[in-house]
Order: sequence, then structure tokens, then C-alpha cells
Amino acid sequence: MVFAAFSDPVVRVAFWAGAVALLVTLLQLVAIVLLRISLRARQARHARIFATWRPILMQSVYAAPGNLPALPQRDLISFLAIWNHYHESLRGDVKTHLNEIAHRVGADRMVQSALRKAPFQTRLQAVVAAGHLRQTENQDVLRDMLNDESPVLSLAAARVLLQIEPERAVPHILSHITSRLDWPAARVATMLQEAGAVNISKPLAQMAISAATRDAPRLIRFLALASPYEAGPAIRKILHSTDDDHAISTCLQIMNDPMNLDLVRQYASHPRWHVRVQAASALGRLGTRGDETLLEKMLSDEQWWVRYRAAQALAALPFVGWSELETIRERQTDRFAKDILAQIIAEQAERNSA
Amino acid sequence: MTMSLIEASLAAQWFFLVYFIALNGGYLLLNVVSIFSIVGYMREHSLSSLPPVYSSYEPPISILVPAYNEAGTIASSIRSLLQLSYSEFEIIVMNDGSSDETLEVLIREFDLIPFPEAYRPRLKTKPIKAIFNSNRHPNLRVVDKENGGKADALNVGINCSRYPLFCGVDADSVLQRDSLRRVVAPFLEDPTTVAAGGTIRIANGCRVRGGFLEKIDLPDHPLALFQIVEYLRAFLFGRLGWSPMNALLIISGAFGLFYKERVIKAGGYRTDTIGEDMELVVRLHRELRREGRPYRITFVPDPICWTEAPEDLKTLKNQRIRWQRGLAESLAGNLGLMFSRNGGAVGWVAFPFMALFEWLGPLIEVAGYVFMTALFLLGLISWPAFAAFLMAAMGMGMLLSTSAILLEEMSFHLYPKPTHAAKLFLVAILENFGYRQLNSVWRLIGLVRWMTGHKGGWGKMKRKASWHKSD
Repeated sequence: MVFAAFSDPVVRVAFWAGAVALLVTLLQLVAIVLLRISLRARQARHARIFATWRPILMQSVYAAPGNLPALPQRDLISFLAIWNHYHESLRGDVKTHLNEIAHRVGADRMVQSALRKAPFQTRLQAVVAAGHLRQTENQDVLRDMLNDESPVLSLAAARVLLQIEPERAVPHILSHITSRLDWPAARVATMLQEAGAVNISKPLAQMAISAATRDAPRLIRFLALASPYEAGPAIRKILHSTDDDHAISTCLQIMNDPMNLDLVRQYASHPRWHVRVQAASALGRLGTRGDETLLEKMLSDEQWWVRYRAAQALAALPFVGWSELETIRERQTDRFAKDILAQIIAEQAERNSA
Repeated sequence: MTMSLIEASLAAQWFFLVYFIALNGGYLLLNVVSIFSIVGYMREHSLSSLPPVYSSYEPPISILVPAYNEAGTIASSIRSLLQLSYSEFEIIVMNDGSSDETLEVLIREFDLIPFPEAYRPRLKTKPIKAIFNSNRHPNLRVVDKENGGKADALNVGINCSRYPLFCGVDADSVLQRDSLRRVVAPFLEDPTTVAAGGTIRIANGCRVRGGFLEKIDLPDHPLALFQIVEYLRAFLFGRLGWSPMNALLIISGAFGLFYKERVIKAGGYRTDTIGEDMELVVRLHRELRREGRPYRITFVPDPICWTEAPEDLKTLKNQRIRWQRGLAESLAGNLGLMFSRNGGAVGWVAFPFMALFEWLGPLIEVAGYVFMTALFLLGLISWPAFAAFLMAAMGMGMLLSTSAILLEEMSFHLYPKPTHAAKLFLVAILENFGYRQLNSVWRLIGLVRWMTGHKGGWGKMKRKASWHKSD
């Protein structure tokens, strides 16, 4: 009867589909078991390495290292994970002690080798370690990594190049900032801030001024974080040369130089609402006597956000007191302007009572 | 006549077999995509020894918490949300006309006072009665409104929110302290991101303290265990597989992050559907595709939100009926996306896949089982033939379920003990002997109710977990 059933093609297909599915399920069970065994072994190895090296690395906070155990190649990734963590967390002499440990156990040579060829995770940890070791001989390899398809690896390489020799690295890194849009802006900003204004500010300012419209907002934000002092003149030049509302909005958002106040005022009536919002906020930061009239007009803007920021800006002006805010509110004929000021006054009251 | 009946019966057998193979084959392909996706994700997010990112780049987030009759749990839920680790966020609780003491509890526990907010109704909603600020927590506000349902409450929250991103959170969701930081990552990595969803995990059996997960463990109840495997299957490759193609059609209402202006432009949440979370995402795809704008709707595979799964059949049944109705409403209301000119992978692959295998799936699956069983009982097919069909249907189901366990082992392996992995594997096998079939029946009921316009409600979930009870 069984053989008769199998003469039917639909039964044959059903049987083989089921059989293959069950076989692959069994193979998956084997894979799960092997993965779990491997995970346990990795966790045990990491725990052992952690237990061995953590006290030694902790000790290096206080004193130069004494006797050190050997470091086999297979333990490199776990060692580097702990070693990098301490380097990132601590400052001062401990860094010198940590580097001495790495030299004495041969980790520096292993890092050099791992940069060229190693599993991805090991290579990544090696890149970070190369920065802490200040290995100048690896710069060519690291520069090649700037073009790696992995954002985390290429960005780590960029950071390390800036750590090792910032002057030489800056032109290479800056040229990648606009092309590597897969580098998260937050990480790039952190990297540039770490590199220090003295290394970054002038070339970044120059780049922001001459950048294409698409790239300017991103660069100007980096500049403002890395070097607010250089950002002021760069913002002025960009605002004089562009009519891209995104670039204008970004410049207004980060503007802190009172010398640019005349530019801010002209954007208070810009056709795009997000530019007016940033103009209102900037007036609140930088405004002088007379600007309260401009802000009062913005309380009747058709966009809620413009009204809200204008009201906040009014409240932030040092020469506009509580009673003056109430007076401004009383004389508003526009219901929306009255309401938004009522909200801001209530917010101020809450803050003052806290 | 007899010959044509036999031919029809054979044609039907082929139809059901090919359907089952296509359904499971499609999900297996998604599984392969997910494997590559998760390996890449783990690689790119593995370096914890780098310094934290510049927090001024983290966009501020409005957390929207719709609340209806949550007097017993709302205070501890909000307290745990206030402890989230993120640079800037606000919490807006929308009290949706609760008939219990939800509002009174909030006023008392968080020292709320009425506030003259210049409320801006960009989305049309039921009227709001009052807005409260907290004297103690400057980033907490409560909106009291007339009852209008979850979607209406979320729209009120969107109207009130001050920040460019909003995150809809269920009041009973258990987040991790860095959940916001993880779910916002796609927005930092790709500025065209308009929405991001996170993996929802089952909290049953886990230890939760102070609103945060302290210890991960497996529950004892079989229904909860089956749902753990189901959620792994649905999230780890159901959604992770679609995300790289920008074809993700669902972001769970329990935890999802959205770019507010884009949602307002799309009209906010629809209040006439029970699956408002999925419907919004499908509509976002449809509108953005029509506009031809570059955008991403993405999935974060990190386990960042935990929720309680029902452990009684009645609640589970109601939930699955509701989900199926929601799915049908979401797809039916956005049919224009399917095979549209600019549809991309979402319009040409994901939507038809969902329509064929999820929307109509319960009908065909249940019909397949009933039909084959009937043929066997009527003696029209032999027992080896019937066994072969069952082996195909259940075998492929087991393969999919165990693939989810394998993917979990390859990625987060959250369940620490080897016995956990063994238990989950066993459950992945056993769920194909009744649980999945029962689910198909419930989903079929949901489909029929949608077709007949039956207006069902949410029902009431029996909650066991005590972690959100008032302190």
C-alpha cells in the first residue's frame, strides 16, 4: 500500500519535502548544540582571561606592572577587549603602564599582524589598540581601511589615524567625511572633538566654506562642535554665499557669535518656517535691545513652532522681565500669540518654583 | 463525473502542497536574508569599547503612553520610563477617558498641576479636557481626554509632543534602560529613516524589578513557551528579513519610533482600524513610495522591549483574532501599494507575500488540513499519502520554528542555560502538533470577522505579572 501511494507524484513530492525539512531540522539541532558549546567555551575562555588580566590591568592604575603571564595568540581578542576598555576609561600614567604591558607580552606585535589579517572582531579590536599604542608603522594599513565597506571598521581606523599623527591624518579623514555617509554623524563628531580644535578647526572651516550645498550643513555642525571659535567666521561666509534653507537653518542653530546678529534678523521673515524657528532661537541667545519688537511680531506667525520659539526667546532676553512679558501678552490681539505667551509664562513660573 | 471529482481532488492536493511549500520556502528565504542581516548587524554594533557618541546628535524623543483603566499599574510604568537613559526625552501620558482612577493616581503620584498649554491640534481627535504638568518631573505631562481608543490617544500625544521623534509605548511594556538609545540608532546612521521598530520579547518567566528586566528565564506555562518561539520566528526573521529590502510592513505598537512630521503628513493613526500600528506603517510606505522620496523604515534586532504574553486560551484567542483583523484592515486599506509603479520591494514582494501568506493564509491552511483529513476519512487517500502530507506540512513548520532558535543562538543567545536552548528546541517541534493549527483557526475567525464587518473589541487580558503593580 505504501509503494502504491508513492506512485502518486503529489505524495512523492510531499514525502520528500517533509523528509528534507526534518533532515535540515536535525542538522539545525546539531548546529545549535555546536554553537552553544562554542559559546560556552568562548565565555569560559573570556572569563579566565578576564580573571587573569583584570587584576594586573587594575594594578597598572597605581604602579608599573610587575611579573606578567604569557599571552597566547588565541587569547588576543579577549585581552584586547579588556585592555581597550581600560584605555578608553582611564587617563594619565596608567596609559603608559598599559602600553608597557602590551609591549612586554607581545600584544603590540600581534596587533600589527592582526591589522593585516585576522577575523573581523579581532581586527576591530586591533585597530582600537593600534591607536592607544600609537603605532606609526601601521598608518598605511589604517589608511587603506578608510575605504573598507564596514562603517565601524573604517571609522575606527579614521579615529586611530587622528590619534597617532593628527596633522598627517586630517586631510585624509576630512576627504572621507563627506563621502562616507554611512559614518554616523554622532561618531564623526565625537572623533573630531577628540582630535582637538588645534588640529581640525582650520582645515574643517575651509572645507565647510567651500563645500557643496549638500555637505555644508553636516560640516558646519562638526565645526561648531569641534571648534566654536572657528565656526563664527565660517558661518558668516556660508550665510553670505548660500540660499539653501537647510544650510541656513543649521548655521542659525549653532550660531553663537553676536557679530552675526544682523544676519539673524534678516532670516526672521524667511519663507521657510524652520529657518524662522532657528532665527527666533538665535535672537533669544544673541538679541539686543530692539530685538524684542521683532520677536513680538513672530508671536503671530502661522507656525506653532515659530511662535513657541519666539516666545521662549523673548523670555530668555535678559532685559525682558516678568512684568514686561505680561505687558506684551496683554497687548496681543492675536489669540495664538496670547496663548503661546501664557504657556511660556507658566513654564517660567514652574522653573522658578522648582 | 467520478473522474472529474478525482481530478479536482488531485488538483486541490497539488494546490495545498504547493502553497505549503511556497509559504515555508518564502519564510526560509527570509531566514537566509536574516542570517546575513544579523551577522552584519552584530559586526557593526559590537564595539562597546569606543567612547559614547556625542549626545547633542541624539534627537530628543517624545514617549507617548496611551492609558485606559490602568490605575493599578500606571504609576510604576511611568516611574520606570522616567529612569530611561537618554540625553533628552519627554513622557506624555494620554488618559483616554478611563473610568477608573488612572488620572487620580497620576495626579497624586507625580504631583500634577493643570497647565495652560497652547495645545495645537494638527491631527483631528476627540476633545481634550485638560493638560497637566508634573511639579516633580519637568519632562512628564499628562493629557486627560475623552475616550476615543488607542489610535485617537496616540494622535493626541502627537499633537502635544514637542520633539521631532515620537515613540509609542504600551503601558505594560518593559523597556531596557538603553532602549531609546538603541532604537534611535537607525535615525543617526541614516537620516532618511522615518520609522524604526524593535524586537519584542516575552517577559513571562523573567524577573522584573523597578520596571526593568533583572533576570532572563523561560516560563513554565506551555502557551507562553509556544509564544516565545513564535515571537522569535516573527521578529528575528519575519521582520529582520524584510528590513534590508526596506520592505518592513509592521512596527509593533508596543515599541516603535517615528519621525513625527512624516506621520502628521500621512494623517496620523487611523481610528477606524484595530491594527492602527501596522496600518500606519503600510500607509507610510504607500505615501513615501508615491512621492518618490528616499526613506527607510527599519528594524532593530536588539531585544529592547519585553511584554507579557497571555497564558490563557481565551485571551490568546482574542489577541490573535484581533491581530488578523488588524492585518486585513491594514492591507485592504492600502491596496494601492501592491504592484504600484514605484512600489519597490515593499509593493512588489512584501505586500503580495503578506497578502497571500498572512492575509489569506489562515483560510488556505485550515482548508488544507480539513480537506486532506476529509479525503483520508472518506478513504479517498491512503494513510501513507495522508501521513506524507502531514509530514510535509508539519515538517516544514518545524524547520521554520527551529530556524528561529538557530538564529537566536547565532545572535543574542539571551537564554543563558543550555537547558533553555534544549527546551526551546523541543517547544519549536511541539508547537507544530496543535498550537500552530489552533492559531490558524483563530486567525481564520479574525479573517471571517473582518469580511463580515463584525465589530469586535480588544477584550480584557488577564495579567499575571506583578511587576507593574503599584509600589
